[in-house]
Amino acid sequence: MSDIQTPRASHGAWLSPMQQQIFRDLLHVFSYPGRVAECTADSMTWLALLAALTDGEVTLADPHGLIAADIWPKLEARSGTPGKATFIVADGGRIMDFQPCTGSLESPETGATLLLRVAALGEDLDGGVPLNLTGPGIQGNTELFVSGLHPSWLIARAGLAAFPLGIDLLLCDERRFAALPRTTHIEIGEML
Amino acid sequence: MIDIPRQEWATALFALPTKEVKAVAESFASSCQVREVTLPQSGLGLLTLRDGAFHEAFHLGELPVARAHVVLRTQDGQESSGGAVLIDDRATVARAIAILDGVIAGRLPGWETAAALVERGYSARAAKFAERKHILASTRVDFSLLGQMDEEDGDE
Amino acid sequence: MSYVAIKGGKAAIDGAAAVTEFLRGRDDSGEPLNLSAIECQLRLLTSRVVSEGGLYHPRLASLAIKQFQGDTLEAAFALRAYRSTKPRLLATPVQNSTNMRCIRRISSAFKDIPGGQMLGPNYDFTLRLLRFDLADEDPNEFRSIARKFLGALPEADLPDSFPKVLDALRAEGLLPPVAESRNEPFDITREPLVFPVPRSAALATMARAETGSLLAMAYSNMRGYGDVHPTVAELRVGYIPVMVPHPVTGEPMEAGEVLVTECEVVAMYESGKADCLPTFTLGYGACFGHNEVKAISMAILDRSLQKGMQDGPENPSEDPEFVLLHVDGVDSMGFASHYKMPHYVTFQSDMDRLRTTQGKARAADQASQMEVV
Repeated sequence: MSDIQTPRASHGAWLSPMQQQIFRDLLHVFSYPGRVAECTADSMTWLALLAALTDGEVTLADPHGLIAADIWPKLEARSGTPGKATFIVADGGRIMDFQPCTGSLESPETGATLLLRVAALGEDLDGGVPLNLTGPGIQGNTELFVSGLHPSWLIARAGLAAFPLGIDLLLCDERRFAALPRTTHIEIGEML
Repeated sequence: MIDIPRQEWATALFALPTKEVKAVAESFASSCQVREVTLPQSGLGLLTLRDGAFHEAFHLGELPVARAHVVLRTQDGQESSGGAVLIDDRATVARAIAILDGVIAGRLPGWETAAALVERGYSARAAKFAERKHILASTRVDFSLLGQMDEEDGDE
Repeated sequence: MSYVAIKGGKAAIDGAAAVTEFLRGRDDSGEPLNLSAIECQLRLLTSRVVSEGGLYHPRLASLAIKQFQGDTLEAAFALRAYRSTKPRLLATPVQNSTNMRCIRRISSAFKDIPGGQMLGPNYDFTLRLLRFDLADEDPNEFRSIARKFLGALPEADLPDSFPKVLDALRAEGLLPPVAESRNEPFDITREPLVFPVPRSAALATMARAETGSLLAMAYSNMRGYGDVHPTVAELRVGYIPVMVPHPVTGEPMEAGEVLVTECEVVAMYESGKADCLPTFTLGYGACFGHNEVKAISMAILDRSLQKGMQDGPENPSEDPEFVLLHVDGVDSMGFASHYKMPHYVTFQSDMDRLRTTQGKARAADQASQMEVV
């Protein structure tokens, strides 16, 4: 490929091969809730996920102002309110202070997907809060350790869930991400 | 100087062999910094047309669309934005044309080369338009009603 | 209708693909079809596929024609499949076809129209006699056609675009007023048709309809199952420049141009509503590419559907549901073709039911005969 076809390396997250890889990984983590995927893009994980997920057809809300002004045109998503947007990106360390869309019985797929930035995330993590997960895609039960996630998100998620209605969470730290789809049952354990 | 309005630069450039347009754009891209405002993309556009009877808008169908929006920054800090939307499915061509659009609009160093390219493309387009006018001119018809005119008159 | 999963047949299915390819490849000329030849020399075929596919991509339409060995329905299907894989980047602002760069412009209503009539490319005034000289055309002769044509003409002094015939009639007060509707046009690629539908949905559906289906519906109206009695106010073929906002300035810029056929028909006048004077009624047809039969048929159906929407349908061609749900080539050919697929279990059950019913009928017959005895 000539230079003109290859935007510079710093745009990795914006290139199709990376977006395809991330989409594939998203399918994987949504299929196996609690499993952690590595993000090899050269930008913040939540942004790389958004780059793979959004286009001009979706709405995106950014209640905590994480997205820089010059990033918005690249994401192409229309800006929406947290109550209506298809995708919401937020700082998971802060208390949840809005009510996302949970979809309707006719169209439960319109329930929001929340990308939450957390401090750290792992299947085994010192200083993290263990989340005990059960439900579809999990054989028996599994544990996911998270630090820097305000419990209000998980409490609100459980309160909003009335399957098939609900919200889907993607937890993102610097380099990793994991999914907590609306079908997963979460019990918050004691910090190790 | 370039007399051709900016709204026609993209189609003028698109009338030339894309290889050539890309090569010139690439030479500019190597001498200045190119930042994408939106990602160069290809996809579809929905063509909205005004109906001829009641002037209502409707969708005639879809078109391939490629588009790009860039900011160029020269080594001495001069900045210019360029953009292009084309009925085509190659984002790389849209990006090349967006670069040339920015170069000419901002009169960045060497812009005359890009402007000359636009002029050439414009002439190529003009030749195509002339062909269509030949089609019209050679089939212009003057029907006359029987009996109203001299029978010999007719179509000549 | 129901489906059963079957298995097996892989070798035969692969074989069928090879056989289909073999029939294409056994051409004695030894020359594979070149896409540019399809696009130019079979331009009306390409036109048909771009409009029925609903995607203005003449090059891919030519490819589809080549790949599906000339089947327009399959070629249009392939274009639809292709478009479904692409993201929607934009919807253009409303384009005005008065800007069309015409190659043909005629009126059967007036002999003198502002700007003049130009016959352009057509077969209207030619005899349908086979030109046997084309059967064995000399390539050098063929290559000189364009050169000779362009060389023989003086510089043409003509405007870039032409006014619409209807605008003149409207200025004289003979036409109904233009619609004030500011509604977003209906997007048939995203929304299902749930009746009643707005006129913009009808126009979009007919613009990508199958030519033969539209013609048949319109012909039923012309022949007697309807009363449109149209006069072609204007039929034009040409290139509409597509203007979109420039990404930097937001001002309209030309993104390219699209070959379109457009037709406006004027039909029987109607007594005006309330205290308005009577005016002619109108119909409008348009499609991608050069396809006059399609544009005329669509214009007639637009007019007949307006009547049906207003007063209720009296004929099939006036019924929006009847017309709009049956003119799409991909829909209708898909339904017809699916009957070829294995329906073994469904049919088995049909046979079982028939046998049971026959058995009961026989038993009843015997019982009644016994009673008679």
